[in-house]
Amino acid sequence: MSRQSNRTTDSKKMNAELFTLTYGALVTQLCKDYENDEEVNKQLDKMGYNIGVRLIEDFLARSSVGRCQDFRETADVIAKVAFKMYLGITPSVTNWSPAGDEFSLILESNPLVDFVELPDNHSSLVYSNLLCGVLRGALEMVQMAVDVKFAQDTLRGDNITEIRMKFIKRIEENLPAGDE
Amino acid sequence: MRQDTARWTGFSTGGGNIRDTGDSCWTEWALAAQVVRTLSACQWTFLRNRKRKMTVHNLYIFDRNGSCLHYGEWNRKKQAGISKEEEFKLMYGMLFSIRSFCSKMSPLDMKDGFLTFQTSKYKLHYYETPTGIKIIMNTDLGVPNAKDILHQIYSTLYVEYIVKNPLCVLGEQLTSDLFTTRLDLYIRALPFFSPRAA
Repeated sequence: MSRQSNRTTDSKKMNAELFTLTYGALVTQLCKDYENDEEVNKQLDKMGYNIGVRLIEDFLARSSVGRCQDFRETADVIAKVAFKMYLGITPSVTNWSPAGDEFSLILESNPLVDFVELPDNHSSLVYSNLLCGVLRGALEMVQMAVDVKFAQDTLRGDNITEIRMKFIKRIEENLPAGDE
Repeated sequence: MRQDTARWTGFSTGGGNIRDTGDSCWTEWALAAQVVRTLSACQWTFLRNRKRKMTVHNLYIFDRNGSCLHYGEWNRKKQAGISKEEEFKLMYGMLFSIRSFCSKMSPLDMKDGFLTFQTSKYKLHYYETPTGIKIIMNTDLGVPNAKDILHQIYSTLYVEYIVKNPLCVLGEQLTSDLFTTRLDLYIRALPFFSPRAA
């Protein structure tokens, strides 16, 4: 996969509909292959994880945001910088838990679900589960273990799309073991 | 230099004629011009010699687990005397220790952490991303601050050619020839790089 070397660091514009349709085709094919909603959800999460692990490097290279000092700063950076950069939307950060380790991202619009309606026999499918995997994978690479899931989803009848993120623990970096 | 001095001396004797005609400012202007020419020649030689001193010796890229992803060498006169694996382990272990030492012993709140160290012969520049990718470059003493350059290497080379390549497995030694070539071209194009005569 070669690239032109004079690609600027700004994002290339892409047809949003092509992106939505590509994602839809991906989920449809996964449903055909696995025939089980839970399995599809798991696969989407796994794929999202692999994307997130690499996406974080691209994000750090393009945004020159430094290390976040706490979970609140992380939440702001995710909502205001990362989502804006990759999906063009700015979710709002709300519903902080008293301990400050859980919050919700409220998405007014989700570019992945334009034109999408879930049929009745796929009621437990989390269509945008890829996003959960991306967030989990990306944060794991910056030493944060988080649990991400959809609390509300417009495709399943709720009014808004809400992603709930919970901080589990800080992943400590350890020195590689010596030979002796 | 001697040639210049001779020219200057010759000029002043030749200029005596012009002074006799009373046009002294012409002589002084010409004298000043000659001095400036001589000084420029000295400065140019000095700068050329100074430019020769600046160079990049080698470059290491480590990932968050301590494995060396890439090592490039341009102007290294002396080897470490140990095997490459041991050298990488030594480099990584030392940097890990220095970083935690700097953060523990810092008398103020630390913003960036460890950046460079220098000896009488070389300077080591260090750059780390929040994901644990560490880029280390050894250069000559003339290089002031390579943080931006190392950031450029990360964002335009590592991210573009390795992270975005699905065939490159992260965490293993980088096998992308494209990356190696581009990195080499980039280093050679740096303003302070000069291939020293062996």
